Formats: sequence, structure tokens, C-alpha cells
Amino acid sequence: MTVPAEDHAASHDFALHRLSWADFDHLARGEGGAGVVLRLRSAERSRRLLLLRALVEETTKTPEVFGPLPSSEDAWELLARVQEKAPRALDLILAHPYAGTWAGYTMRLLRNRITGVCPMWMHVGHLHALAAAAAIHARLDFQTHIPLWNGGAMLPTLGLAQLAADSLWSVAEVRSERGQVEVGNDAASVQLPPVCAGDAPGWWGIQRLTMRAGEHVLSVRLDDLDPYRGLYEPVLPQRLDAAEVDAWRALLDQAWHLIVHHLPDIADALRAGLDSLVPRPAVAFQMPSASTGEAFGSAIIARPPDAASLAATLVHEFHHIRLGVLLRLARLHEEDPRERFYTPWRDDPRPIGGVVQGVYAFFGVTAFWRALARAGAKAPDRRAAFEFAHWREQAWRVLCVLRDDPVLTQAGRRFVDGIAERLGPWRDEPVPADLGALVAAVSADHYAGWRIRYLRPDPATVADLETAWLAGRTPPVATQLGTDRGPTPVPDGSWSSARADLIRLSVADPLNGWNMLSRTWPSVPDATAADFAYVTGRLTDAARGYRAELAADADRPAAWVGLGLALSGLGVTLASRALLHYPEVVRAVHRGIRARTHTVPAPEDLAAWIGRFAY
Amino acid sequence: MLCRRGIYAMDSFSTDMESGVESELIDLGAVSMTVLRELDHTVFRQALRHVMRQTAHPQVTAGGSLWKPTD
Repeated sequence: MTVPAEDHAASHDFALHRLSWADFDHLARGEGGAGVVLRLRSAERSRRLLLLRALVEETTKTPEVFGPLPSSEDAWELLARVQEKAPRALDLILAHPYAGTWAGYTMRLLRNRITGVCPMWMHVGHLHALAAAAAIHARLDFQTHIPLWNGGAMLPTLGLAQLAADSLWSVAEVRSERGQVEVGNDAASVQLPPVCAGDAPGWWGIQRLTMRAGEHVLSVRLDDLDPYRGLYEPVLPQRLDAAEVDAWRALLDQAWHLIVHHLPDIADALRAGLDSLVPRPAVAFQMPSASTGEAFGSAIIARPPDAASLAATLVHEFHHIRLGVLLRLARLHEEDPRERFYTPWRDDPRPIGGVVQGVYAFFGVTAFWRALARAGAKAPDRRAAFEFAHWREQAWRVLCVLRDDPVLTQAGRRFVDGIAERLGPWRDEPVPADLGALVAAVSADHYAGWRIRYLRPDPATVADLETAWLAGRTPPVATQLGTDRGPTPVPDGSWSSARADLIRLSVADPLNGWNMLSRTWPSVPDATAADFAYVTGRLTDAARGYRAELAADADRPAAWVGLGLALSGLGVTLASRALLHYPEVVRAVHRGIRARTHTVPAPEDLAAWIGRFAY
Repeated sequence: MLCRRGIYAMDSFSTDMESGVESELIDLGAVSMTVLRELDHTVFRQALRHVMRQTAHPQVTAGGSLWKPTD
């Protein structure tokens, strides 16, 4: 029954969630510990309750949307029973990260009247699976029906019962009596084990990993089962084998020790805010990780090669997670979907929302590597020092662009200033000079690689330069090389991160650098002999190699930029300046001359000619 | 073109230099499921619309080149 609005208006004087400036500033500076996280959690709990109510209301109008499953009212009643008997069980389900992604995904389907990965009744019917899981946690006696996808009946936070099924989408019954839980259909039934995290015949339990570093305990689910654990669409289970689970356990244990030891305040926040990890297979020379603002408490992470990488990734993703909730409470920028920013951590242009997220996350990454680098008193950790030096500069570079952007709100500017308050002084901290040079090279490489692929020079400027070159004249004095047209969304050519990968390998093993790289470089994706020569300091060989690459493919972005880097190292100033600052112009003019005359100018001659007025 | 009439244009986050940021999210910390099912007043309806609007554009952040974001 619905109570008239005026009655409720009189009887419920609701407060709105509020974020104090103290909490806001703590978050901006990457601080705040568990207290702030718990307050964010409280707001997220309210948001999910509102979404649940909205979903039930939407589906009550069209009860047929539940198909063969019971109505949403049945699920709501079960959740209410759970709350009466064991409120913590309800809170556990409300806090489950993938309850958030499910609610958001299903609401989008309902509002847009579109079909998802499964029939609509499967998606809305997941409400019954959440209610059943809550009731099992509460040790209630109950009976209900839940969706069965590809023979798997998911009980979120608990595990998945595997049943035989004739069709891809069907229904399973869940029955709980005196602590015994059974999931079944016409073909089979599965008894849940007393400890659901364990496996049993027909049952995959969601494993919980618990790490202890002194008094600091981190306990997370390793969720390879929940259909709503992905970023965009529901996905089927991808069960890890025992060896992979052991590898994750060992890595996570070491990573937790690193975070507790080096960043205790972050550790305090993490233990209060991280519930689940979605494990993904390792990817050579990459560490993909992701999170979504709808799944507070969850990160998707490809298995990193070592504990320090995992610790850095956890800190990175946790910054995204905290910021995701803050953005629901405070508007940091106006809506602006234009992909107009360069960011050193992505190969493509980003909108302001992605930039704010990236600056904050890499501010966290910088903090981690800084702490690790400073800890090695006797023998500095060169890898940590390199990553610290690299990310502090990259985060600062973007922050300086961001803080002046008119799309930032007053609160957004305050948030960015909070980051700057911590990040700025770190830029003055010393790092070994050779690492500083490597950081500069990686930075120049990425920026030039982004420009050559995403910036389109002014066609009139390019035409003027072609004409002047062909006439044997000096470049037009008044020519503006820079473009104010903004990046395009479509890259002109593919990119390679091989040089950055090789530099990181050499930093990690400096004593054995050349020998190690000589064996390893062919396995680095897209690496060329010229890249190997460049990273091992054989700059003349590198320049020769890049010239050969351009002779074979005059459009290859990585070869143009590689030539610029090698020439810069050799002190060839004019050509390298043009190739690293305006590579898109040099390549466009080169293309134009080829098209007009069917002759091929020497790349560095053309670059040096343009470099005479490139600043 | 800068779009100022999106989901945020409908929102009215309030910032107060003294106390902090007030959101549009009502605090349901002390509301039972039974009561929540029956709520129907204006403030509640506004809060419902607010969270429903926010689902239109989920924030996704992805690093590494394998998973592209949609934000």
C-alpha cells in the first residue's frame, strides 16, 4: 500500500547525505582512512536502496516482466524478513559491489526498453538471487526461485550451483530449511556445503582471501563467478584453477604487506572499502585494471607479475573507487563529453571526467612508488624511483591543465588543489639523474606518439610547407605549427609501447641490462631492433634502424617518434625538435610531398627544415 | 560542443563554504525495508529520480589498452 505523500512528508523528515569539507579535503589529498570510507559507504547504501525501490516500482507496473519467476514483491518481502532477523545480512548484500552493477544495468534496460545479454526476466529476476543470498546469510528458512544461466544458479557473495538445464535461460528453486540449503531444478539438485566458500559437488564457492600484516587484516572475495562482475555487460563464470588462486593469494599477501608498511593510511581505507577482486589472466607487459562507479568495493585486475605492481594497482583502483562515490555526492565538473585532453596514461584523447579520475588515481600511484622508493635507504629501489619520478611528472602535467579548465566547478577546483598540495612538493624530491633522463624519454615518446596519431595539422599550413620545400625556399616565417583544432577521436596509425616497456625492463635489472634485453626484446610486443638499439644507448644504430623502418612504411608513427628520440640523444637539435614537438606536421608534409611528386624526402632532412621554426 | 543540459543540469548539488557539500541523496540509514516500500512523498520522489538519472551514464575507468572505457 502506498501512503499518501502528505502523510509521509509529515512523518519522515529525511536528511540528505552531506560531505563535510574536512572529509572532502581528506579525500582530495588521498587521506582519510576508514572513517571517510565508511561515510561514503553509508551514502552508497542509501543509493542502492533507492535503486532497489525504483526497480521494484518499475517492474510492479509490468509484472509480466518477471516471466517464470515470482514477483518483485516476493523478493522485497524476503529482504524485509532478512532485515528483521539479521540486519547485517541485508547490509552485506546491499554492499555487494555487483548488486550495484546489477541495479544500474537493469535500470538502464528498463528505462531504455532494450534487451540485455539475457531476456529481461533473467536480469530483473536477479533480485530474487540477491534476496535468496541475503536469506542464506541470515539463516532464514525460505523458498524462492532464481534465474539459471547456462546451467549456473548464482547466489551473489556465496557461489554458483551447477545444474543440468535444457535451455540457456531457465529457473532454479532455492530452498532453505534448518540451515540446509538446496538449489535444484527438474534435472538435478545441489546441496550447499556448510562453508559456502568451499567447493562441493555441483557447487563453486566464492573464495575469500584474508591477508594479515600485523594487526592489519584485509579480507576480499576473489569473485570469478558473479554475472555482474564485469564492466559493461553480464558475463559467464571464468573459474580460476587452484594454481591461479594460490598465485593470487601469494601476490595479494605480499602486496598487502607493502601497502600496510608503506602507506598505512591507505591500508586503513582499503580494508574498509575493498570487498572483491575480479581476477583476470595475466597479460605480458601490460597491467590492465578497471573499476566502475556502480561497483563500489570492486576492482577488476589482470594478474600482475609481482607484488609491487599489484600494490600499485590496488592503490590506483581504490582511488577510482573512492572518487566514484564522491562524484555521486559532489559535482566536480560540468558535463562535458568532449574527448579533448592528452593524458600520459592513455593512448587516446580523454574527456574531463576521465582526466579527473586519472589524475587522482595516478596521484595515488605516485604516492605508493614514492613511499617504496624512500624506504630503500641503503640500496635505492630503482624501479620504484623510476615509477615515482615518472608518475609525479605525468600527474602534475595533466593537473596543471585541469586546474585551469573552465568546466571544473568550485568544488572541483578545490579537489584538484588538494591533490596539488600533496603532489607539488614531491616534484622537488631528488631521484637519480639517469632515471630522470629515462623519465624524460618515456614522457617525450608518449606525447609525440599521441600527437602524431590524434592531431591533424591545419591543411593550409601543410600545403604551404610542401610548396616551400619543393621550391627550395625557407619555411614560411609566419607559419603556426600548433593546432587549436583539438584531437580527433580516430587515430592515424597504430601505436607501440615497446620503448617504454624496454626501458622499464632495463630499469628493473640495471646490472644485467644489455644481456637481459638482448634476450628479452624480441618478446616485447611490437619491439623492433631499432627500439632495442635505442634503449641500450646505441643511438646511431637506432637512428639508422628507424630510417629503415620509415623507408619500408613512411607512415609508421612509432618510427617517426623513434627517429626523433634517437636524434635528440645524438644532439641533432632541429630535426628532433620537430619530430618530438610536431611529429604530426612533419609526417603530413612528408605525405603531401610524396603524393605531389612521387619522391620521398629524407625524413630527418625534412624534419630539420621544419625544425628551424619549431619551438 | 559543451553540453550543459545533461544529467547534471538537472541536479542541484549545494556547496556551502562552511559545512560542505549537500547531495541530493536522502539518507535511508534508519529506514526499514518495510517503510521504504511505502514511501511516496515529494522529497523521496526527487531522490528516486536523481539516482535513476545517474544510472544513465555509469562511470567506467580502465587502464591498460585492453579495456576501453565508455565514460
